[in-house]
Amino acid sequence: MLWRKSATLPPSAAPLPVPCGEAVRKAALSASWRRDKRVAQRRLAWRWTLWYLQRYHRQGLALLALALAGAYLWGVRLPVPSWPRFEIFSRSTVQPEAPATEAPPSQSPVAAPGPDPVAVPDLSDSPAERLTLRPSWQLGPPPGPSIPRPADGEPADTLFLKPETWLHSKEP
Amino acid sequence: MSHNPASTRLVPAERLSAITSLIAEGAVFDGNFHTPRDQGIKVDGQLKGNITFETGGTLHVGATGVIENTRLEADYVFIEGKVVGTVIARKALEITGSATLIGDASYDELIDMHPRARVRGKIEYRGDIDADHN
Repeated sequence: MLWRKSATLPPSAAPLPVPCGEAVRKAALSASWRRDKRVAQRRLAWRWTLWYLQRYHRQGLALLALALAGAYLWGVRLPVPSWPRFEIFSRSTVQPEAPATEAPPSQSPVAAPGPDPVAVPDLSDSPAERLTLRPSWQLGPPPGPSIPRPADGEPADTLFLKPETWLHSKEP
Repeated sequence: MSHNPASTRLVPAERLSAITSLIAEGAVFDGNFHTPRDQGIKVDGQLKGNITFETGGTLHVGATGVIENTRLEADYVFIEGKVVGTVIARKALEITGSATLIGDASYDELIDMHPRARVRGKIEYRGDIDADHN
């Protein structure tokens, strides 16, 4: 029968020796001492290293921390405000040259009248369309509502200040 | 196989070699250990409770051992790991450079503390302070 066949285990070649308790105890203690020595040496070295760096290389550590923080910010590309701030604008006061869509004077008037050519904007790099950069400190006051100033002879507005205790005062 | 325990200055190596109980690394023991006989215990795991040897006794806290909320009392106490609580060494107390002791410690005869040991608490000598002045 199958269940009987599985129940018959092959006899072991030789019985394993049972270690005595004293040998097990010594082996466990030896392994523990080895692990203790390794962990203690690593921890002690780390403590000495920390103490040495904090004692003699504090400025170097600060610079290293700053460099790491800068590298981190640069890698993450956080919006870091740049200074000075440049603004882009075009030179609109310069008069542009003659439009390029005018017909050249050498064109013969005998040519058959056709449809008017479509005016193609000149995309060439003309000096009038060049963009220039100017630092912000050279710019004028920022555009926005200006503060009105009183004219000459006109009395300036004076704010009427009320004392803070006017609500509790019984006087009219 | 290494037959030498950790290098000690006060606790005899024979005492460390005669330790009979071991709380292995990774094990958590919650309770008190108490014996009236002169035995020893080594803690490599985590222990929450008291250890008391009425007579004699050697307590070795391994580098990976952590004992919390405890009151330890033995003749020889050798600390390489972390102990939070009160330590009473009736003969010798040794705190190595990898040790952390948070709590009060008292000893009757000898003490040795590594300069890199981290101790937060009171160290008290329980013997006769004026014994050598008589």
